[in-house]
Amino acid sequence: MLCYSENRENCDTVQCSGYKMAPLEISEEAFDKCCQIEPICEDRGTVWIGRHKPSNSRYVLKIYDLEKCGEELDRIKDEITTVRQLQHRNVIKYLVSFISGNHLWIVMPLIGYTSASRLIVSHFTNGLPEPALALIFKDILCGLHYLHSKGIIHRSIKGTHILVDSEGRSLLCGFRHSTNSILQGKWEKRIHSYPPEAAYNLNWASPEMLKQDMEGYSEKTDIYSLGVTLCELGNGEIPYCKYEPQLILVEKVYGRQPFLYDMHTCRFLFENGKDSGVGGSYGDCLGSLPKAAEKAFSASAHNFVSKCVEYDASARPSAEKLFDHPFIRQTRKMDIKLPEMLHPVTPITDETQLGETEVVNDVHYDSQQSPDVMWDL
Amino acid sequence: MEPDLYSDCTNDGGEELFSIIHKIDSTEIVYSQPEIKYRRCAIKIMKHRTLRRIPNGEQNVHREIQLLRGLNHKNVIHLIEVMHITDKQKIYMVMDYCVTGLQEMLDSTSKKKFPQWQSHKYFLQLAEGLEYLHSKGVIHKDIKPGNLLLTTNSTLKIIDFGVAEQIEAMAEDDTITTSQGSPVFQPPEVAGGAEKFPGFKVDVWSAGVTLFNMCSGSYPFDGANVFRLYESICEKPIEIPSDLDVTLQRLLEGMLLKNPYDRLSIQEVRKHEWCLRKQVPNHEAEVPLVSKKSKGKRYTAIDVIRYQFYEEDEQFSNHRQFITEHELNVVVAGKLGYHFVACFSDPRYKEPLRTIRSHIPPPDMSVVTGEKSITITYVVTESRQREEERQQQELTTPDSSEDAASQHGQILKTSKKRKPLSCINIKGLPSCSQS
Repeated sequence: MLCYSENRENCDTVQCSGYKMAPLEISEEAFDKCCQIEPICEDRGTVWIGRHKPSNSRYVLKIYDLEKCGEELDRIKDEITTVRQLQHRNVIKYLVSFISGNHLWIVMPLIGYTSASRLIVSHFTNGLPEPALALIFKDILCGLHYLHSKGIIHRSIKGTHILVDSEGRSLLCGFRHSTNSILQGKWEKRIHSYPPEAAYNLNWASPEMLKQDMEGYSEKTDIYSLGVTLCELGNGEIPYCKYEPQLILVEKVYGRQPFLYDMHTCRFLFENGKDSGVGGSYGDCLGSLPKAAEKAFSASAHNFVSKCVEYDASARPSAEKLFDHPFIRQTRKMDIKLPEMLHPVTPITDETQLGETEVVNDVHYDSQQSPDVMWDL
Repeated sequence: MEPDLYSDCTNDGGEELFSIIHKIDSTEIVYSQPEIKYRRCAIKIMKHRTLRRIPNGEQNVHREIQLLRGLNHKNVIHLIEVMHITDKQKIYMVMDYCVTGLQEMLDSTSKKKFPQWQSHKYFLQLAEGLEYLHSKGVIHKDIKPGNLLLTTNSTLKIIDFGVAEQIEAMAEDDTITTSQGSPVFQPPEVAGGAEKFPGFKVDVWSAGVTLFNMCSGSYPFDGANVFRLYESICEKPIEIPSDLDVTLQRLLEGMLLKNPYDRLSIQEVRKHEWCLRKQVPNHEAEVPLVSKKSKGKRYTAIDVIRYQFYEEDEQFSNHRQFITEHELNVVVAGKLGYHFVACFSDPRYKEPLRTIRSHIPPPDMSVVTGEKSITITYVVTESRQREEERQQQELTTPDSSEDAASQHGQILKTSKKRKPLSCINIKGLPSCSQS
């Protein structure tokens, strides 16, 4: 029942949109665990970078301890089945998953830049530059549109669930919280089920989902989360990260919206300096504020956010419509690729010397953030 | 006695687990969100003192808790947690959140009944829940529209296991000796005072009366008092309205047979033609899920006591800003000045979006759309005395908002026009009187 491994014949020709792979051995022995990256899901599992011995290429291994999983296992199972059904260049692909002893292994392609949150933590502490954001969000919108067309609501779009591979392509992952709007063969317009681990995603969750009233929510909840994610990646800080969850919930229900910090939106704070009144009020919520004054986001970026975080879900544009937004359209004229923008952060590749890689070594992040912040694949 | 009864319940500090968002019923139930999951749920609060006054009150509650703990079905109310706080002498039962009950919905209609397809929808869920209960050896004994609630996505939940009985695991059959449900829903064997009777059939009868009530808007038996009513239940032959569907009439006949041994079992009910047949929903005639508590609002949302800002510019009066109870507590506890000057301005990002001069940390800045800048002034006073103190303070030291205005030049020009906000008076908070 618990075996997710594909038939060996299928594995022999594993190819997933761009990744050319040697056949994967479905056994623990075939993999060398090189480097542990991060515990995930409250220590129920760990993420490793592993070397596949026969092919000598690297993969990301997510290993869950089945004994610690408990109820969580059902969600992990659902996640695997969901991801298995998806095939899109901007959605994570699980190559193989299998049970070995007490552990559930999930093998994924190596993703060079890891998650977008990791980029912020490791180098872009002040937020990613706007062109990079536009490129990332273009890909994410593409993936999101695909998901929505399949009736899947992601429900936990956030920085840690956006991965960037070494070619600069962004992928969506983190389907543990997702749900399907097709229930018992019927496409439900309104979903009422409340994600069991909502506290993790409270900062990103849309007000209609938190309200839990009879109106329910739809796939537009993902668009809201997308807007918050743009603020997160643009500001280099998770919106409302210093507030207690109860307050976040109440404020969201009453329509408080996040926005991008830049010289236009925050100017008055610097004119004022960090003096008692205003600075005192904001000092604890805008950690990255001092540098925000040097940045300037375009009007379209601000507009993109405010459209995404529209309180009324029906007024929010769909993923498809957002694709035509000027903020996304600016990528058409760009001749620079994402990896160049992300310089000097280097992706992990098959050749990278692990253990010396800066990205892997310095794991500093705010302990107040959710425990699975970095590699919640 | 008490420590034994509640030894397995969460004790001390339990109250921190949830916070009451909105009180719906002055006596019993409040909505809440357990901090851990932020799920909306209902909490039944019982005081030990009140329970002691009711005969067997404590034992009944304890039995209900034990019973609910063993149940897990989508059509039966789910007991999430029980907290027993010794300091407060209260028991908190955290359960699924339900929007409204069938009885309330029936009362909201003029004919006191549902269209057939809607009754069908609810009855199927009731039958499914009952079958589960019976499979667990639980006899509910008090099935009626008032004990059937609906969640936000219209899932029916059977509630109130106060008089329910669990058959002992080794019992040969479902024979029981007592039943204490609502009189109108009692079967003839209870009304007639039989000593022993099959328990599951009691629920089938009550479910039958419930279905009768939902479809026809009346009760099958009537009586001026309980005695007359019981007499009619025992002797009067059942009259089923002929305007109902023929298969439905047959189902009701089968469920309302006087002899419990002839009566359909819940399994037979579920296999009945009327239950198996698909009903075509007609959404125009649907009775909406509106509860008394929602005061006519279509959707019942999380409600927090609101504190509205005073807004100078009427043009923006539809931009309602709220300060939450949480924040207000901060204000009152802060014992500082109570200024809160906010300046909203042009969304074209040429001007600052919002200026706040405050001792209350605002949760975050928000983008407000609109053409002109507006000023929002907000003053909370803890008491008249404190207000006077504040005014004195203002006289001696430069007004903090003026200070801000001078720094921001034209931005806060409008703030000079500000007027104090009218009173904010909330129950349960330290005296907040008009300024």
